[in-house]
Amino acid sequence: MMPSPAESWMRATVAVVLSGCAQASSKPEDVREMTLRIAAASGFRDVCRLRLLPGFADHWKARHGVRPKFEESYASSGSLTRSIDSGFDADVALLMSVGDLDRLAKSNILRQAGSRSSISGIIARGRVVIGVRPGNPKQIRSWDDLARDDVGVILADPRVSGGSRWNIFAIWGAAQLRDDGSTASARDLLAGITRRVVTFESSSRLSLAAFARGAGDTVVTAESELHSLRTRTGVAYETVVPARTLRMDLPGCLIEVSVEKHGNRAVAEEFFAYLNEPEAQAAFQEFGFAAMEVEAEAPTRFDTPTAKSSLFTIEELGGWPRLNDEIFGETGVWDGLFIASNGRGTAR
Amino acid sequence: MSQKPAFKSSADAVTLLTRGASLSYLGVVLLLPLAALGFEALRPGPRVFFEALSDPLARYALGLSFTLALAMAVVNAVIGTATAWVLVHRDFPGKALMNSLIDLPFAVPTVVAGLMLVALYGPSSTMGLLLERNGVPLIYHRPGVAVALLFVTYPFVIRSVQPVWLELDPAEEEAAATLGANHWTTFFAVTLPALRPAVLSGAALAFSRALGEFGGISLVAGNRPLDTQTASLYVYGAIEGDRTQVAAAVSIVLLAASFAVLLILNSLQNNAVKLD
Repeated sequence: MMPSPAESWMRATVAVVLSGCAQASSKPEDVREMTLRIAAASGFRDVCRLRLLPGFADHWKARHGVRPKFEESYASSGSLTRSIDSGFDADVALLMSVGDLDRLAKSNILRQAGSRSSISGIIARGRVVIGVRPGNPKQIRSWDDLARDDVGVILADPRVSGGSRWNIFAIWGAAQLRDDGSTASARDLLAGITRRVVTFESSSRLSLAAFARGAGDTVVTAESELHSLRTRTGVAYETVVPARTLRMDLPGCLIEVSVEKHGNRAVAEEFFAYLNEPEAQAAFQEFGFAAMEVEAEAPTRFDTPTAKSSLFTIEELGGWPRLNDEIFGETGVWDGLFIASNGRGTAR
Repeated sequence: MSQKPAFKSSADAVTLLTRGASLSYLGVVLLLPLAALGFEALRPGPRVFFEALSDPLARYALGLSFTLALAMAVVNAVIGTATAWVLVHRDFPGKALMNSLIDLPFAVPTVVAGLMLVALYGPSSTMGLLLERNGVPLIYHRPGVAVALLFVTYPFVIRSVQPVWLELDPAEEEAAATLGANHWTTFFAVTLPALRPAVLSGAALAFSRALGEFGGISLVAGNRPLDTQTASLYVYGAIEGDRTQVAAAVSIVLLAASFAVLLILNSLQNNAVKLD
């Protein structure tokens, strides 16, 4: 059996902390002058700025008597990944998709010289939901409702925004699990929904912005994004959790090449460890993410009143790389959805 | 640099230096990045290149962009020339203000232009609702893309025609009028031939600008494949989706076509100049 992401997270951490002790850093480490460079997906912006960074600063100060400095950059998970891959200077990356983590892992920047492991793993979870206007005027209850002729859907373009592929995987998986693994039925549902798309925005944030400006009746997004939209706009957009939906596993990692260069291993490792502490996990939950201990079968700690919803995982669908290939790969079904429907939906 | 006896005069040296400098500058600023793009597109071999271009989504996007760009060239040639005429031949209060307003599309980031259009014609605006009720929704539909392009290409023809028109010798037009030609005949037989190079170069700029436009379109188009997805949106999606070679291949087609159009229009201009 595969170890759960949380387990592998712990194991990787331990392995590298041990190996890290023996290794001399290129620069002398003085904890009083440490700056932590954080690159986080836009979806983590609020929780980082309002909870995680202040919380960690207190935590660090209690131990070392001084607050660490932060340099933050927020962008879409995909473009952050690309920047980091081509040398952008960040010590810790918080990403939206396992695919992005895989990409960084492939380029060797996550490993110390001579070490086989990296400090990386799932830092938080979330789930894919449907956002509707206050009062749910179109009575949206399920994924199938999104394919209705009277419904306009807003999606982040999964071709552009890797993180928003979770949304597509959720729809795909829900139909597949309902109909005993039928690819045809998953394809039908996805085709039906893409026909109703009003606009494919280039990021999750922009899809919510378009929804808030009045486009469409529904937006498929992460629960945390909807939470953030409600906070920003003060409008009571409602969260509809379909009977089956996907649990999002959101990864983070230490960029070893940067940490080596900056000589700030202590603060970077401690920040990463801090993310798994109850205080940080509670912060994630407060911002619409799910805490790490929430299991697929018991989504009781989610804050929405919606009745029970069963969560499935990306592993149940065959894992991110396989699914990614199946839908967005060269022979994937995605482009075909539009060709089959001859492009022109009747979406408003 | 000291002068060498090889040069007949210092003027020769200056000519050589300035020419060399401007060519090197062109090379570094323009040709080098273009060469890199061409390299990126063709590196995996011609098969991958043509495969990228045989994708129905890419073809549709290219077709849509070319159609829109051609439409922009034509519309701007007509409306831009008419606007230039107003600015050159008519005096009215606020003319100076109008003259300054024309350049605004250059100053506004085009994505802001897109945002303004969404605010004005978007699904939650009064105008948007009105248009939608009458069956001509703009935002997230192809006409909206055209409106965004009209905005960003507005100044080109006006700005290239206006100064030429101001320099035209009114004697020829007056002579035509004296010979009994009416306004329209005078315009088509005398004025327009003189303006033609300027109109063409303005229209060519509008064409290229429309073909490559991204920011203004990204917010209003809706980016639906085989519907409102233009070539620039397609390329953006390919880059973000880590399909750099696909992006490069489609970009090469955009560039080559743009270059061809500019060449053709330039040669038309040169012919016009020679006829003079």
